[in-house]
Amino acid sequence: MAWITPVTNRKNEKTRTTASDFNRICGNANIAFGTALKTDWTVNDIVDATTWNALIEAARSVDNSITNSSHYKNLNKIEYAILLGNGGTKPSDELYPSDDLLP
Amino acid sequence: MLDIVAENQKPYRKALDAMIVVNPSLQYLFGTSADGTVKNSLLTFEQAYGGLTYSKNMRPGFINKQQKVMDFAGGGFINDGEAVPLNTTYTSTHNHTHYGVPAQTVNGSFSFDFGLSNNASLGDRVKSDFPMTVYAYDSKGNKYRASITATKYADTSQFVSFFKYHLNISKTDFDGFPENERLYIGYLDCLDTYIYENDQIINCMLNLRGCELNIVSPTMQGSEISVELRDAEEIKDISKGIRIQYLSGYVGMMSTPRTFYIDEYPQIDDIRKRVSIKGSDCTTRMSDVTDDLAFYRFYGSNIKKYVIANELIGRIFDHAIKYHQRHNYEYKGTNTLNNEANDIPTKINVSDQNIRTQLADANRWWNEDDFVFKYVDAGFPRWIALEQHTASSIYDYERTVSCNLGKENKTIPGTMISEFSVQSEEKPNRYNIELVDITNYPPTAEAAEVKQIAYKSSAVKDVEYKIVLSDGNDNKYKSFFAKKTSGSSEEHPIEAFMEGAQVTYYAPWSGALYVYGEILTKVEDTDHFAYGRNPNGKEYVETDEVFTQLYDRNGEEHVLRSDAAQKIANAPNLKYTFRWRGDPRMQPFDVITANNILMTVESLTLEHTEGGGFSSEVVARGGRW
Repeated sequence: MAWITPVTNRKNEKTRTTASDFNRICGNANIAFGTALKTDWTVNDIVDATTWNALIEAARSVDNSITNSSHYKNLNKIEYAILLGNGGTKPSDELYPSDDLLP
Repeated sequence: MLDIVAENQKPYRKALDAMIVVNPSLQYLFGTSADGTVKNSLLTFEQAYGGLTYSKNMRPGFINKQQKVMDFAGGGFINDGEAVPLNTTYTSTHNHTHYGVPAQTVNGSFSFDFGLSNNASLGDRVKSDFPMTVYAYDSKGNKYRASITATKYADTSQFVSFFKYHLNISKTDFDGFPENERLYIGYLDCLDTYIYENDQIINCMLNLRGCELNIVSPTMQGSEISVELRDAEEIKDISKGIRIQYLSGYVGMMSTPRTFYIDEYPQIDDIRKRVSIKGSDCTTRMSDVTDDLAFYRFYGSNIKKYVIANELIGRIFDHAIKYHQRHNYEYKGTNTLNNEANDIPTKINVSDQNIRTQLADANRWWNEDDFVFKYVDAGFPRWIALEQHTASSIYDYERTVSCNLGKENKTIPGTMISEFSVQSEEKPNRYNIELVDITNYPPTAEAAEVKQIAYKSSAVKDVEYKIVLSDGNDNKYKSFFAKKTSGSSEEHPIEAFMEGAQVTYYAPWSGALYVYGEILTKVEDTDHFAYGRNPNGKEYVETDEVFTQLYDRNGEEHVLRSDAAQKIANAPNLKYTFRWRGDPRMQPFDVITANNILMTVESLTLEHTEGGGFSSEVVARGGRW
């Protein structure tokens, strides 16, 4: 699966994560971290703990402040971590989610 | 929508609504696994989501403890942090999500088999097919209900005690179930669920009982319900054991259901079109069980041995070990706890006894977090009142009740006897009574004096004294009665004087002295209170840091864990009975003061009468037990 620009600007708790979003996250993580996460999620699926834990573990190799939460702030950090893991640059501290904002 | 708190603050309150639910439940289903063997679970799905092939029981109690999962159905999961991944590796009840068992796909259906026991409550109703009520949720938590017919299918000889049925459930069974939403099966009810509300309830009487707070030989009592309904012919042939539930409240604020099981076939009055049913909760069956040491749990209307043999004592010891470790003691051996420093063996003695006694004993023995059950069907083994009731339901485990109920109350609020010690052998018989001064009365001991001591009655077995404490300005602060219940026929006056903050009375008779204030409607506690705390007597003897010997008034020794002994020694011997019109949640706030007494409720009687309205009676013990 080709690289897709990560989404790191979720603004609030009303945002949703769709199967398409999760395919992007998993596909990018596979590129950035060499993981082998499933990338063909559909509306018929529920994220399983094995996949989620593998994703979190990979993302934490870049940013160990990332938690297991599905909160939008944590999701932003996960996608930032994927971005950084793929050679991207960290944004300014003002734009990067601070740890104390994580749930 | 009516609000209980708001209504309570009105001088005239709208009566609460009552609801009776006759509800043959999932608890009577026995499961079969995919390989056809009978599982010791209530219901086993043969097809469920992905790795959940071995999913177990579905019960609301389990489901509600679970979390929302990261489900892509219905537009994806919301990023509020509540959604968690589905753990498909567990085989426990954790497999269930917040909303139940999810269908494998958004358009998926359920198909599963289950068995009905010959002994199950359905009894007469077991036939080739029967209706079931199924409750389902979507991923947003919206609830849907459907009536689906379960069909009997080919039985096999190995299931001689079971009737096997098959049930298909799909989204189309639920009116309005949205597209692109996954079906979550929440729970199922066997047969139809019958709901009766105010206009069909002719009368309803509930006796909700908890663990009798008897220090010497506590008992666990069962709870009962008696209901008379009109136009309820549809339940006239339901069988014994079927679940019946009672709720009350306002729409949107109904109480937690109290669960009973029908004791006998309903009584039918065809002429008046009335159906009478009686039920009791599972604790009523405990007297039927006499066994060796075991630990029991409640399943529906049945009591089952959870783990045979020494589970109960094992749990006690497990806790005792932890307790000792916290106090730098080391546990050695099976039944002996050693004080390592002094090498003094200390034993916990748990003798074989009736289950009712076991449970009741364990109930008083341990703190509330130690023992597993706090609420059984309808009763409340330990129901603790803490502070003035505000909003929560009377059915909550921890409750608040003010002792100052009733407009006719004229007493000074807050007077309470907290300690009661007896030295019964020496002459003169002496009774030490300390008044707990929770209202700061009298202002000082010196300023108060016993103003009045008078007989109320001179009957041999019913001598009552009224004692009034007043200050120098004749302001009465405390008023209570001392009552003679047995002993000499001599009618000596009570001698009373002040000793610092303590008032000591010399009474002319032997036996127990019972003291109560006017806030009580009744105090009769001749059997229930046995221990005193008298530093000069032998009633309360510290043996070491862990255990304490207590002697009851019969001179029998009891070795208890010190904190348990302390709890007993601190427990007041007063029993309070409150009566008022209305559900207990409908408290007369206009007469309640800020003075509250901790109480533990023993029993609660509710009577719902035709036309609405309740009357209630609560029996409670002072203190937190």
